[in-house]
Amino acid sequence: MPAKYHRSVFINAPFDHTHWDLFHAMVFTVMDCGFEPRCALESDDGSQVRIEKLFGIVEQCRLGIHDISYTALDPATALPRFNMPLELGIFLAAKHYGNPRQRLKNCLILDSEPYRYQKFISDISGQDIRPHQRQPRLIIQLVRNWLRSADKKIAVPSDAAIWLHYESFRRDLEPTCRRLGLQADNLIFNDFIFAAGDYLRTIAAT
Amino acid sequence: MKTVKKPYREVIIPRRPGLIDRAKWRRAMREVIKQRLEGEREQRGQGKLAHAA
Repeated sequence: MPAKYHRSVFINAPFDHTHWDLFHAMVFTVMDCGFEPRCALESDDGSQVRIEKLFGIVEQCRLGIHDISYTALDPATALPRFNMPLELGIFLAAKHYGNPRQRLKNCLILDSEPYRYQKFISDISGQDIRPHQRQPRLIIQLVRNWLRSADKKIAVPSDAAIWLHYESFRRDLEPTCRRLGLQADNLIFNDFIFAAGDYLRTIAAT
Repeated sequence: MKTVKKPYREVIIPRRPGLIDRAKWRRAMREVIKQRLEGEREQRGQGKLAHAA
Protein backbone atom coordinates (compact mmCIF):
# COMPACT_ATOMS: atom_id res chain seq x y z
CA MET A 1 0.00 0.00 0.00
CA PRO A 2 1.70 3.25 -1.08
CA ALA A 3 2.11 5.61 1.89
CA LYS A 4 1.10 8.57 -0.28
CA TYR A 5 -2.39 7.13 -0.90
CA HIS A 6 -2.76 6.23 2.74
CA ARG A 7 -2.02 9.76 3.97
CA SER A 8 -3.65 11.83 1.22
CA VAL A 9 -6.81 13.74 2.18
CA PHE A 10 -9.22 14.97 -0.47
CA ILE A 11 -10.74 18.26 0.71
CA ASN A 12 -14.18 18.94 -0.67
CA ALA A 13 -15.19 22.29 0.75
CA PRO A 14 -16.50 25.65 -0.47
CA PHE A 15 -13.86 27.82 -2.14
CA ASP A 16 -15.91 30.90 -1.41
CA HIS A 17 -14.26 33.86 0.35
CA THR A 18 -16.90 33.72 3.11
CA HIS A 19 -15.62 30.21 3.98
CA TRP A 20 -11.85 30.85 3.73
CA ASP A 21 -11.29 30.73 7.49
CA LEU A 22 -12.97 27.31 7.73
CA PHE A 23 -11.17 25.97 4.68
CA HIS A 24 -7.78 27.21 5.91
CA ALA A 25 -8.35 25.72 9.39
CA MET A 26 -9.18 22.38 7.75
CA VAL A 27 -6.11 22.38 5.48
CA PHE A 28 -3.80 23.49 8.31
CA THR A 29 -5.04 20.71 10.62
CA VAL A 30 -4.51 18.07 7.93
CA MET A 31 -0.91 19.28 7.53
CA ASP A 32 -0.23 19.58 11.27
CA CYS A 33 -1.34 15.96 11.68
CA GLY A 34 1.20 14.84 9.03
CA PHE A 35 -1.24 14.22 6.16
CA GLU A 36 -1.26 15.69 2.65
CA PRO A 37 -4.19 17.92 1.65
CA ARG A 38 -5.43 17.57 -1.93
CA CYS A 39 -8.17 19.52 -3.67
CA ALA A 40 -9.34 20.72 -7.06
CA LEU A 41 -7.49 24.03 -6.57
CA GLU A 42 -4.07 22.36 -6.65
CA SER A 43 -3.75 22.45 -10.44
CA ASP A 44 -4.84 25.19 -12.77
CA ASP A 45 -4.78 23.48 -16.13
CA GLY A 46 -7.40 24.90 -18.47
CA SER A 47 -6.94 21.98 -20.87
CA GLN A 48 -8.02 19.45 -18.23
CA VAL A 49 -11.70 18.60 -17.88
CA ARG A 50 -12.70 19.50 -14.31
CA ILE A 51 -14.55 16.28 -13.53
CA GLU A 52 -11.61 14.19 -14.83
CA LYS A 53 -9.31 16.12 -12.51
CA LEU A 54 -11.65 15.36 -9.59
CA PHE A 55 -11.80 11.65 -10.48
CA GLY A 56 -7.99 11.57 -10.46
CA ILE A 57 -7.63 13.28 -7.08
CA VAL A 58 -10.38 11.17 -5.45
CA GLU A 59 -8.70 8.01 -6.74
CA GLN A 60 -5.36 9.06 -5.22
CA CYS A 61 -6.78 9.83 -1.74
CA ARG A 62 -7.72 7.26 0.88
CA LEU A 63 -9.25 9.96 3.07
CA GLY A 64 -11.80 12.68 2.36
CA ILE A 65 -13.28 15.66 4.19
CA HIS A 66 -16.61 16.79 2.78
CA ASP A 67 -18.09 20.04 4.02
CA ILE A 68 -21.66 20.20 2.69
CA SER A 69 -22.59 23.34 4.63
CA TYR A 70 -22.53 25.66 1.61
CA THR A 71 -25.99 25.08 0.21
CA ALA A 72 -27.32 28.62 0.11
CA LEU A 73 -28.95 29.87 -3.06
CA ASP A 74 -26.68 31.77 -5.42
CA PRO A 75 -27.99 35.37 -5.42
CA ALA A 76 -27.36 35.69 -9.16
CA THR A 77 -29.21 32.55 -10.25
CA ALA A 78 -31.42 31.72 -7.22
CA LEU A 79 -30.16 28.13 -7.53
CA PRO A 80 -28.18 26.11 -4.96
CA ARG A 81 -24.55 25.05 -5.50
CA PHE A 82 -24.32 21.26 -5.84
CA ASN A 83 -20.59 20.70 -6.35
CA MET A 84 -19.92 19.55 -2.78
CA PRO A 85 -22.70 16.90 -2.64
CA LEU A 86 -21.65 15.69 -6.12
CA GLU A 87 -18.02 15.26 -5.04
CA LEU A 88 -19.16 13.47 -1.87
CA GLY A 89 -21.16 11.12 -4.12
CA ILE A 90 -18.08 10.45 -6.29
CA PHE A 91 -16.05 9.62 -3.17
CA LEU A 92 -18.71 7.28 -1.74
CA ALA A 93 -19.15 5.57 -5.12
CA ALA A 94 -15.37 5.05 -5.46
CA LYS A 95 -15.39 3.36 -2.05
CA HIS A 96 -18.42 1.25 -2.91
CA TYR A 97 -17.57 0.15 -6.46
CA GLY A 98 -13.79 0.44 -6.41
CA ASN A 99 -10.99 -2.09 -6.09
CA PRO A 100 -9.78 -3.29 -2.64
CA ARG A 101 -7.52 -0.23 -2.34
CA GLN A 102 -10.45 2.12 -3.00
CA ARG A 103 -12.58 0.26 -0.45
CA LEU A 104 -10.18 1.43 2.27
CA LYS A 105 -11.51 4.95 1.84
CA ASN A 106 -12.67 6.77 4.96
CA CYS A 107 -14.38 10.14 5.10
CA LEU A 108 -15.52 12.88 7.44
CA ILE A 109 -18.75 14.64 6.48
CA LEU A 110 -19.33 18.08 7.95
CA ASP A 111 -22.32 20.39 7.97
CA SER A 112 -22.95 23.67 9.75
CA GLU A 113 -25.75 22.46 12.07
CA PRO A 114 -26.84 19.08 13.42
CA TYR A 115 -29.44 17.23 11.28
CA ARG A 116 -29.73 20.10 8.77
CA TYR A 117 -28.51 17.81 5.94
CA GLN A 118 -31.66 15.68 6.32
CA LYS A 119 -33.63 18.47 4.66
CA PHE A 120 -31.59 18.53 1.44
CA ILE A 121 -29.59 15.27 1.18
CA SER A 122 -31.56 12.71 3.18
CA ASP A 123 -29.97 9.73 1.35
CA ILE A 124 -26.89 10.08 3.57
CA SER A 125 -28.93 9.83 6.79
CA GLY A 126 -27.18 6.57 7.66
CA GLN A 127 -23.81 8.35 7.76
CA ASP A 128 -22.36 10.15 10.73
CA ILE A 129 -22.47 13.87 9.88
CA ARG A 130 -20.66 16.23 12.26
CA PRO A 131 -21.76 19.84 12.79
CA HIS A 132 -18.95 22.41 12.74
CA GLN A 133 -21.15 25.44 13.51
CA ARG A 134 -18.89 27.52 11.22
CA GLN A 135 -16.25 27.60 13.98
CA PRO A 136 -12.61 27.09 12.91
CA ARG A 137 -11.78 25.90 16.45
CA LEU A 138 -14.42 23.17 16.20
CA ILE A 139 -13.31 22.20 12.68
CA ILE A 140 -9.77 21.68 14.00
CA GLN A 141 -11.07 19.41 16.75
CA LEU A 142 -13.32 17.38 14.42
CA VAL A 143 -10.67 16.94 11.72
CA ARG A 144 -7.91 16.10 14.22
CA ASN A 145 -10.01 13.50 16.07
CA TRP A 146 -11.11 11.89 12.82
CA LEU A 147 -7.52 11.71 11.47
CA ARG A 148 -6.41 10.26 14.80
CA SER A 149 -8.82 7.36 14.35
CA ALA A 150 -8.27 7.08 10.58
CA ASP A 151 -4.57 6.28 11.01
CA LYS A 152 -3.61 4.86 14.38
CA LYS A 153 0.03 4.36 13.39
CA ILE A 154 1.13 7.95 13.82
CA ALA A 155 0.85 10.27 16.80
CA VAL A 156 -0.83 13.59 16.06
CA PRO A 157 -0.80 16.78 18.17
CA SER A 158 -3.76 17.57 20.43
CA ASP A 159 -6.47 19.84 19.04
CA ALA A 160 -5.46 22.51 21.59
CA ALA A 161 -1.87 22.40 20.27
CA ILE A 162 -3.05 22.61 16.64
CA TRP A 163 -5.24 25.60 17.52
CA LEU A 164 -2.24 27.38 19.08
CA HIS A 165 -0.12 26.62 15.98
CA TYR A 166 -2.93 27.85 13.72
CA GLU A 167 -3.43 31.08 15.68
CA SER A 168 0.27 31.89 15.63
CA PHE A 169 0.46 31.00 11.93
CA ARG A 170 -2.43 33.38 11.14
CA ARG A 171 -0.73 36.07 13.22
CA ASP A 172 2.61 35.68 11.40
CA LEU A 173 1.08 35.26 7.94
CA GLU A 174 -0.09 38.89 7.66
CA PRO A 175 3.28 40.58 8.32
CA THR A 176 5.07 38.02 6.12
CA CYS A 177 2.73 38.77 3.24
CA ARG A 178 3.13 42.52 3.81
CA ARG A 179 6.92 42.23 3.56
CA LEU A 180 6.55 40.56 0.17
CA GLY A 181 3.77 42.80 -1.13
CA LEU A 182 1.17 40.00 -0.99
CA GLN A 183 -2.30 39.76 0.51
CA ALA A 184 -2.82 36.93 3.02
CA ASP A 185 -6.39 36.29 1.87
CA ASN A 186 -5.38 36.04 -1.78
CA LEU A 187 -2.76 33.31 -1.52
CA ILE A 188 -3.48 30.47 -3.93
CA PHE A 189 -3.95 26.97 -2.51
CA ASN A 190 -0.44 25.74 -3.42
CA ASP A 191 1.17 28.79 -1.82
CA PHE A 192 -0.98 28.45 1.31
CA ILE A 193 0.03 24.83 1.85
CA PHE A 194 3.68 25.65 1.22
CA ALA A 195 3.46 28.51 3.78
CA ALA A 196 1.65 26.33 6.35
CA GLY A 197 4.03 23.37 5.89
CA ASP A 198 7.14 25.54 6.07
CA TYR A 199 5.76 27.27 9.17
CA LEU A 200 5.05 23.98 10.94
CA ARG A 201 8.54 22.70 10.19
CA THR A 202 10.08 25.97 11.39
CA ILE A 203 8.23 26.08 14.72
CA ALA A 204 9.03 22.40 15.28
CA ALA A 205 12.73 23.27 14.93
CA THR A 206 12.66 26.33 17.24
CA MET B 1 4.43 -3.98 30.32
CA LYS B 2 6.27 -2.74 27.26
CA THR B 3 5.09 0.58 25.82
CA VAL B 4 5.64 1.29 22.15
CA LYS B 5 6.04 4.94 21.28
CA LYS B 6 4.29 5.90 18.07
CA PRO B 7 6.37 7.87 15.59
CA TYR B 8 5.46 11.55 15.72
CA ARG B 9 4.01 12.93 12.50
CA GLU B 10 6.25 14.43 9.85
CA VAL B 11 4.83 17.47 8.07
CA ILE B 12 4.47 16.85 4.34
CA ILE B 13 5.01 19.82 2.01
CA PRO B 14 3.75 18.82 -1.45
CA ARG B 15 5.97 19.88 -4.36
CA ARG B 16 3.40 21.74 -6.42
CA PRO B 17 4.05 24.90 -8.39
CA GLY B 18 2.98 28.13 -6.71
CA LEU B 19 3.27 31.82 -7.43
CA ILE B 20 5.47 33.02 -4.56
CA ASP B 21 9.27 33.01 -4.45
CA ARG B 22 9.76 30.29 -1.85
CA ALA B 23 13.28 31.26 -0.81
CA LYS B 24 12.15 34.86 -0.19
CA TRP B 25 9.06 33.59 1.63
CA ARG B 26 11.17 31.38 3.93
CA ARG B 27 13.47 34.28 4.83
CA ALA B 28 10.56 36.68 5.46
CA MET B 29 8.59 34.24 7.59
CA ARG B 30 11.59 33.23 9.71
CA GLU B 31 12.31 36.91 10.32
CA VAL B 32 8.67 37.53 11.39
CA ILE B 33 8.69 34.49 13.72
CA LYS B 34 12.03 35.59 15.21
CA GLN B 35 10.75 39.11 15.88
CA ARG B 36 7.54 37.80 17.45
CA LEU B 37 9.40 35.37 19.73
CA GLU B 38 11.82 38.13 20.80
CA GLY B 39 8.86 40.42 21.55
CA GLU B 40 7.16 37.72 23.61
CA ARG B 41 10.39 37.02 25.53
CA GLU B 42 10.83 40.71 26.27
CA GLN B 43 7.24 40.98 27.51
CA ARG B 44 7.71 37.98 29.77
CA GLY B 45 10.90 39.53 31.15
CA GLN B 46 9.14 42.82 31.88
CA GLY B 47 6.28 40.92 33.52
CA LYS B 48 8.73 39.12 35.80
CA LEU B 49 10.44 42.40 36.72
CA ALA B 50 7.08 44.07 37.50
CA HIS B 51 6.10 41.07 39.61
CA ALA B 52 9.40 41.16 41.53
CA ALA B 53 9.05 44.91 42.17
